[in-house]
Amino acid sequence: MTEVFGKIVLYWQYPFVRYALIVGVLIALCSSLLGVTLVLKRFSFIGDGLSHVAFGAIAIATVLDLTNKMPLVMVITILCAVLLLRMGQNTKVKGDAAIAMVSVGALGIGYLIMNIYSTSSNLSGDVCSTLFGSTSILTLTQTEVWICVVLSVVVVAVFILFYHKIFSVTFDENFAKATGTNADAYNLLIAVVIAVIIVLAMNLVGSLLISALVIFPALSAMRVFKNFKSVTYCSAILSVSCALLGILISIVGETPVGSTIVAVDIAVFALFCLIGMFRGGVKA
Amino acid sequence: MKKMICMINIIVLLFTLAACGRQTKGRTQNMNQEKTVSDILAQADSEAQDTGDTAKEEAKEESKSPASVALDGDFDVDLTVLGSTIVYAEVYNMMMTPEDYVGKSVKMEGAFAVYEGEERNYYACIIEDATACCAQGIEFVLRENAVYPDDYPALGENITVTGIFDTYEEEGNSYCQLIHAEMES
Repeated sequence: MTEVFGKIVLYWQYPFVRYALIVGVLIALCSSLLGVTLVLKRFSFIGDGLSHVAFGAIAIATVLDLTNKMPLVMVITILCAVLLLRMGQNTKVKGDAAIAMVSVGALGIGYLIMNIYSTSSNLSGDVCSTLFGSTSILTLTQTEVWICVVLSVVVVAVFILFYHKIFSVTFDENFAKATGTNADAYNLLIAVVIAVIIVLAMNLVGSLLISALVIFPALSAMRVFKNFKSVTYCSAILSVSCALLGILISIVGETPVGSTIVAVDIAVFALFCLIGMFRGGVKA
Repeated sequence: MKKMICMINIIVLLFTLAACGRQTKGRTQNMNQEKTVSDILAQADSEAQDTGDTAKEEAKEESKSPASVALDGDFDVDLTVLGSTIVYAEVYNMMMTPEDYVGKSVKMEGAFAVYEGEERNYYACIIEDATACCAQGIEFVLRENAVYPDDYPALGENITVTGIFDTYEEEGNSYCQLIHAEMES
């Protein structure tokens, strides 16, 4: 135990470890807030689809040799989020089929572009790092940390300011529309915020594991708590705690960061399932 | 009103968390103020001239290279005490911001690799990350003349390398390496 504590103290001296913990906490907080909404709206898989889109966007940015990939990735992901939302409503390709189509399409085209045009000497490393996060969270620059802080503040602010509208659109969209709420606009806002979170979260767990960050805390909280506010609070606390614990375990135990966080999320979900069995909670 | 107070609290909390960045800046500035390779070499030469009254001591000091003076005792960057995840991140930082590390004594452990160039060979110590899909390496130039492959280990063999971190230009590109290096396999 003393050895583990000594290691944490030693690693704390490294700025990239502090950056990782700050960014990890912020991303976990943002993803958990919207996670509850996504799970309740039956949009759990949209995070996965958008993360694959982000992978395709990163492939394009890599081929274009852009120093800062985030703006391009952000724009493409937001556009696809809006597109998915529209496709899910008034077109022939609806809901899960639209997400699946965009998801695998972006993943396949992204990898194809990287294979054909990439000048990197370590293509498999680049792909692996983008898909599983690898040590991306530990190689952030100060600028990237600040971008993450600003975007996280924006996401949290949007969630607090529009909490009641998001709540009403989440639970009963038709009722919200009937009472004069512009549900389409709020759905669009949710889609944009989700896209921002996905792009941020790619640094933490990689594009394949983002969904875990979005849905596990919400599902765990729903095992025990019954109302929207309690579930949101619990989800945020669980998400932040799991991210912190996962990062620390991965640093001390020398395991991959993203998959360790997901493993902690799964363990907490199992624990909350057991607690829920004794107390009786809401089923998603 | 409650919403506004909540918002302000969250923003303050987030910026408080992010405030750690300033400490890093300070650390980076301190790193930049630390010795360069030439400083270490000059200091070692000066020490070699000052010490040793007797002929025996002078001979002993002269035979002690600047690098070996720098590598005695603690290392500025000892990568062997770090876990694989942190090592990878630290080596990545050394490659991305070499100016923060120039002149520092480094000790690292990893797999031996060699790239046989047209004019010379490039020897490196390679470190893999925890997912084993990414690898970072640092080139090293041994202090004593060594002939490849006789004086070097087999490819992929685990080696420990010590040396002083430095950068050099070649064909318009900047590269990092450990100079005055010593290797154990």
